[in-house]
Amino acid sequence: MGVASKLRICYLLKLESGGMWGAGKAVLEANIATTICKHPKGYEIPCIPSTYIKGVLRRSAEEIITHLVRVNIVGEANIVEKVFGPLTPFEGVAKPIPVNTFFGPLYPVRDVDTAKRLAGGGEFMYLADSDSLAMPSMYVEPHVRLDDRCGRASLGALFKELRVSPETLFYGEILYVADNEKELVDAARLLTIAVARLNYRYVGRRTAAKSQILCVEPSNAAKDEVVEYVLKVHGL
Amino acid sequence: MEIAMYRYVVELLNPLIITSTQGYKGMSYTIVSDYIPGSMVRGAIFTHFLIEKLVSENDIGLEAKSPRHSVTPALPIPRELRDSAYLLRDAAFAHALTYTLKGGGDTVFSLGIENILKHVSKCVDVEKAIEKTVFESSVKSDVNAYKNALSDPAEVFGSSTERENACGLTVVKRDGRWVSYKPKRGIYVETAVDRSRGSAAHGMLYAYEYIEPGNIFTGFVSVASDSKVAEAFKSISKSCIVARIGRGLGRGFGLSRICIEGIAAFDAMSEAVDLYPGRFVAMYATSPMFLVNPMPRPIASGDEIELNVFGTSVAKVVVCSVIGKDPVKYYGWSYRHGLPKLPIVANPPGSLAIVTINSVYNKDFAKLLALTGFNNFSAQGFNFVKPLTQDFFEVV
Repeated sequence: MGVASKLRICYLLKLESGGMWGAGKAVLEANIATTICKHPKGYEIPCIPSTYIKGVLRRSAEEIITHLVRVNIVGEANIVEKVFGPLTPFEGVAKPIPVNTFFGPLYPVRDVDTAKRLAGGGEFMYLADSDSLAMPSMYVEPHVRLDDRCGRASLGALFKELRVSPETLFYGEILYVADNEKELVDAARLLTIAVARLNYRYVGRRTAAKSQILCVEPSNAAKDEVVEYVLKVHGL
Repeated sequence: MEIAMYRYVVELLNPLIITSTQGYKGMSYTIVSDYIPGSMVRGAIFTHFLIEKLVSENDIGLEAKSPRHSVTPALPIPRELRDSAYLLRDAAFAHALTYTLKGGGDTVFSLGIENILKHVSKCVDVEKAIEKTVFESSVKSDVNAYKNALSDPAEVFGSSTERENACGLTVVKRDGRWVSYKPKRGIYVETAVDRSRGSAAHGMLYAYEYIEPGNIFTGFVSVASDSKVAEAFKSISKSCIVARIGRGLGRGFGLSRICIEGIAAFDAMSEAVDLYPGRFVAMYATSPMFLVNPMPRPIASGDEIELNVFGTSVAKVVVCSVIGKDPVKYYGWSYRHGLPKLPIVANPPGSLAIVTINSVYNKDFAKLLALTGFNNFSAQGFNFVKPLTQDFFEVV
C-alpha cells in the first residue's frame, strides 16, 4: 500500500426540521431522546454520531455508484468499499481490513463564520475546540400512535420525542487517505456528491437538512471539474 | 549510541475501543483494559508518519523488522495532571505485592519489596521469604486494625481479611499516596439496518464498550539515534498530532490528539537501582512481559535473561521467582501480512520477577530499562521492567 495524498472534506448541515439521532434512550421529559455526545472537554452536547452519518453517506453512495461508473464520473465501483469498508457479513465475523477513511461526528456550531474558521483550521480540531460549539435549543415533540384498525389514536399511545430545533448548524469532517491520485479524485467525487445528496434525503430520524460543503483539500481534488461543479452548486 | 527520550500524552477526542472480547457475530465488544497497549500507540504514530510522508513505507518496514525504538503502554492520568504527570513517577501499574482494603478507599498499600529481599540470600529462599512477608504483614495488619477499632469501630472493616490483591491496577499519585485510577467508560448501542427495507434488522443489536472522550493517558517513547524513525519523532516533538487508535476507526472511534515532548532520560529515572553481580532485585513489569522460547511464553523461575537496550547488552539475570496474576494473552491482526499475529502469552503488567544479577555490562543503560525495555519486543509495548530494591508504594 502506498500513500499518495490525504483528502479532507468539511461540511455543514443546517436542520430544516427538528433533528433526532436517537438510540432509543429515554429522559425525564421524553420517551425518546436524541443522542447526546460527551465532548472531550467533559460536557455533554447533542451531536450526530460518526456511525450514523457514515451509514447515511454509505447508503447515499451505494445508490449512485452504478450510475457514476456508467457516466464515467468514477472509475471503479469498488471505491465505495475502499471508502466505507466492506459490508459486515450477516454470518460469521468480518476479517479486519484497513479502512483509510475517518468520519468525524458532527457537533453544533455557533454560526456559519465559526464553521468556516474551523474548516480553515487543522483536521478535526473542532473536537478539541469547545469555544466554537454552541448548545442548541431543543424541544419535546408529542406524538400519538394510531390504531391501524380504526385510524384513531390508540389507548395510552401518547409518546414524546426530544429533538434539536430547526436551523441548528452541525459541522463535521471526513478524512480519506488515498493510495494514488486517481483514487483520491474518485473518492473526492463520490464523497462530495454523497454529501450534496443529503439535501434530498433524511439525515436522521425524520430529519431533513440542507448540506453545504465548506472545504475540499488538497487543491488538486478541489479543482477537479466534477468536484468544482458540486462545490459551485452545494458549496458555501 | 545516543537515545532520545520522549514523553507522550494521548487525549481522546472520540470514544476509543480496544477490543478484548468479541460477542456473537462480532457484535458486542468489551474493552481490553484500563490502559492503551504500546503497540496501538505505535501504530497510530507510525500511520501519521506514513500519511504525512515523514517516513517512507520501506523505512517503516525496516524499522518494524529491526526496531530501534520502544513505546511503553499509555496509562490513564487525571486531566489536571496532563502537563505534569510522568509514567512511573505519577502513574503506574500496582505491582503484585500491593492490595486495596475493602472500605479503605482507593489507596493502594504494599507488603514491601524490601521486606522480601531482606530475607533472601539465595535463589531458593525467595518462596519462603514471600510466605514469611505475607504472614508477618497480615499479623501486623490485624493488630493495627484491632488497635484502630478501639478508637473507631468503623476501622475494623479495614482488616487484613478484607484486602484484595491490586496487581495490574492502574494507579496515580495523589497527595503523596498511590490511589486507584481508571478511565471513564461508556456503552454505545446501535442497530444494524436491513438494507432492503431500510429499517432495523432482526436481532442485530450492536453494543460497544468504549473509553470516553476526554480521558488522558501518558507514556514514553525511546528512539535510538540510528533508528529510521528518529528524525520523524524529532520533527513532531514539542507539537501535537491528530491520530487514530484502536478499533472502528472508519466509524469515528479512536480519534486522539497525541502530544510529544523530549525529556532528559536520567531525570525520568532518577531513582534507578545500582546493579552489581550477586545482588537480588525485583524486576517490576511495567508492561506485559514474556520470553520467546521457542514460542512466546510468560517468564518463570529458572529462566536466564539477557537484558539489552537496543542491542547493547546491559546485564544477565537469573529468575528466582515470579509473583503475579495468571498470564494474559494478546492477539492481533497484521495488515502487512493479512494474517493473524503470533499470539503472545505474557506475565501481566505489575508482575514482580525476583532475580539475581549474574553479570553487568553497562550500568548507564541499566537505568533505562523501564523506558527502553529489555529486548526488541519493547517496540510493540512489551517487556518494560524497572529493577527495584525499595518499594515505592506505601508499605504497611
